[in-house]
Amino acid sequence: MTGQPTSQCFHRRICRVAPARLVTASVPNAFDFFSNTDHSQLSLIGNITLYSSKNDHGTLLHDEQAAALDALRSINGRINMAAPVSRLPPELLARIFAYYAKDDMIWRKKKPGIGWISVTHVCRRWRHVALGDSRLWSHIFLPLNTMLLEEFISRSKVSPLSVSWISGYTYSTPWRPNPWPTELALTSLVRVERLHFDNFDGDAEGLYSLLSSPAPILEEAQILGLSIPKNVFGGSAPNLRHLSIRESMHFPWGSGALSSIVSLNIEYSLDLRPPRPSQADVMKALHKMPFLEQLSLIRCLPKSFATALADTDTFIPEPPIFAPARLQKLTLSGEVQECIGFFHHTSFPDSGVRLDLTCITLDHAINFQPLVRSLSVACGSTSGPFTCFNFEAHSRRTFKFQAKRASDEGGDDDAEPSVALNFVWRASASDGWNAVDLMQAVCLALSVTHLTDLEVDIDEFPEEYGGDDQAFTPAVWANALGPAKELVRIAIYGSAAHSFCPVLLLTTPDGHSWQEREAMEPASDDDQDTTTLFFPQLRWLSMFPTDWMHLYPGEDLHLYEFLPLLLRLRDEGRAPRVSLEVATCSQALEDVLKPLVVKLNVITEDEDGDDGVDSEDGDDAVEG
Amino acid sequence: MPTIVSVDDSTVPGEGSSRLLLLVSSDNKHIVVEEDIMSRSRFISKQVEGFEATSQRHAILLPFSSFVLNKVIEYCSHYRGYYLLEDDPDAAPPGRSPVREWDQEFLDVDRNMLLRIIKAAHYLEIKSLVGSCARAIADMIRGKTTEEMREILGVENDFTPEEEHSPSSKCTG
Repeated sequence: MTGQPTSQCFHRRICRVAPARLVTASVPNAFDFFSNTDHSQLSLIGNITLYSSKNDHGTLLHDEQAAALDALRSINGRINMAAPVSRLPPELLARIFAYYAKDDMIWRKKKPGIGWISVTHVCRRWRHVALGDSRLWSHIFLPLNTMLLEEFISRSKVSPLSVSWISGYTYSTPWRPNPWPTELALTSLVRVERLHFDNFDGDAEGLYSLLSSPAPILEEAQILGLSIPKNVFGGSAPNLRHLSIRESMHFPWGSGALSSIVSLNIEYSLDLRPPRPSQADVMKALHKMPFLEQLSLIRCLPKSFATALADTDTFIPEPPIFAPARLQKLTLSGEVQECIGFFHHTSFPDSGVRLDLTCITLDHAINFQPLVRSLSVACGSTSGPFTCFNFEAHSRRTFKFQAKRASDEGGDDDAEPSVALNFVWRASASDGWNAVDLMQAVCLALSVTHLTDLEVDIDEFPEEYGGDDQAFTPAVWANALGPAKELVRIAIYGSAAHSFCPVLLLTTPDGHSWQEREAMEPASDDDQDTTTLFFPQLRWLSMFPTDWMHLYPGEDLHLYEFLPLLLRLRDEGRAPRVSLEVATCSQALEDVLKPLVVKLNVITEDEDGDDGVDSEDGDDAVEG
Repeated sequence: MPTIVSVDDSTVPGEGSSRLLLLVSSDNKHIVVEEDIMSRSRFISKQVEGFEATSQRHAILLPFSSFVLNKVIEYCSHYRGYYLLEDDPDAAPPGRSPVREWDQEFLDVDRNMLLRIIKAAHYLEIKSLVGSCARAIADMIRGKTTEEMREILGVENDFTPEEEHSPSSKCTG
């Protein structure tokens, strides 16, 4: 593969000594010369100085050195040819370089990731392969000096370019910085497939020009902290699928370059609070995106949504304007009223949408029912098609409500949960959130009858609910989760576990739904604790009270009460295959429980007070 | 194209619920392996299709040693039935995608063995294994100086002075 290096000086030197013999000897190059076993030729070199004049002595020695180096390089070339790595076909070598280059770009976040170019300095073959792979050079991290930029563009040949701006990096080399992006805007934007500008601090005028140019093959653009021209991409970006504009002061809602968008992420600046768009602009723009699958609108929902919904309790749903047939994921962040307004104008597809909702409000005592109701309207029924739901409300404290696919995170081998609910309460002090109402309302919106995975993490409760373990009483749990007959996994963290234990203890295996039980035995206030729940699909149960001290010794009692139920179910041949995870368990109880469950994990508190895990392998346990 | 030789029926146990293949390494070791295991190899799959067309049993001769072949079979066995995202740098999502933990352990072999495995994976068209090996080799040379890279992969500097001072050599960032 590698050609033998020619040695002009070697030939020159031989010619000077014995031109006639050189021609007849036909020495093709230095390597052949040195590797030849004809010692008479080698002796020729040794005799050269005899024919040289004194003045030429130094020159001849240099020539001799050059010849030797040439010969060495030639031998090195043969060594390389024999090296195992040289047996790799060029495409494999190029693949290795591609991984190096790709990771290099990621690792050097504050520097253009071009350290990988050093592979072109290793040997001739590596350089040949690297220079011959145009895709390697199509990832351009800016700013680059002019020479490098030209080299990259030239070597990338006709490959589509991926251009990224690395914010805050300054070259230490004296090379003239490239007048990017003006230059590239005029010459190469037509070749740009991916554009990523993060806090651009270069030639703003040039960038504006760049972003105003047509982008015929542009597929993805991520722009952070920049002004976007109204005529973005000249109104022509027919292949633009993914657009993310973050920390922006403006978004060109009326642009004609958005018709092919599949994923749109718009986030207005938090600090500068730019003016919000009009309701008509937003809805009109969204309506023109028939391929939209992922939509994220952060701090850019129209204010008019909120003002139009002054009285949310008596709202009359308007006909939906935005009906994204392919929508799979929706992320909204804004004031509660703005989100409600958005739902009023939206009709979700039946195929299901993952919803991440962040509501910002200073009204701590807000009633969430209108929000849930607007969601129901958007969904077309009270059983929303949401496969995942993530709700956060921010005020002085954070309230978080999540639902997600457990299968996204691995999940239990025994189950393939389709809907998961993650309820997290992060409150440092009591305040006016009506947590119970919210939980019930959102459970309704989620259609909890199909809930399979529940995770609840509650540390503290508002004082109006009586403090720690009175907010989520067994009756509240029963009300909220009664219909959830498909629950497969339950994990309860924090003080909520105190109230959840009795719910499980009172579980009956009679197969009646909670509503049926209610109808048969209406529970009086005094009789709340007898409310029963049954989760026939339950396979995994975890209970971790946050405050370990609360566990001793009382919690054991709950488990002891749980035990008869398990024993009875086993005797009836209907014992659930439950994996039980508890925060504490006496040895005696552990011995009894182990044969009854698939797996028993006991989490113990170590000497330092940190959580430690003492896992009991369930392999030897007897399945129920 | 691989060499395909006819084999005796007794050599290849077949007719079972899971079809078996006979792979013959360059050191003439015969290795019987379930077809399912090797289905990750597009090369093998194509060969098997060819067998079905001729309704004859064949052994597949492979141009690498049994040691290498066994490593490849170990990989295929581990990921039997799993869907693996193809490790095409162009197709992969942005961000660093480290070698999978098991792969890292599996590929914790000497340099020459690693090169043999990637070559065999390339021959057998097992894209995920090629990707893992390529990443492992890239990790070996990442952040190293040119001299260190040469030392790691056993190559020498064969540039002429002119080549060493070419413009591309200045592109080091």
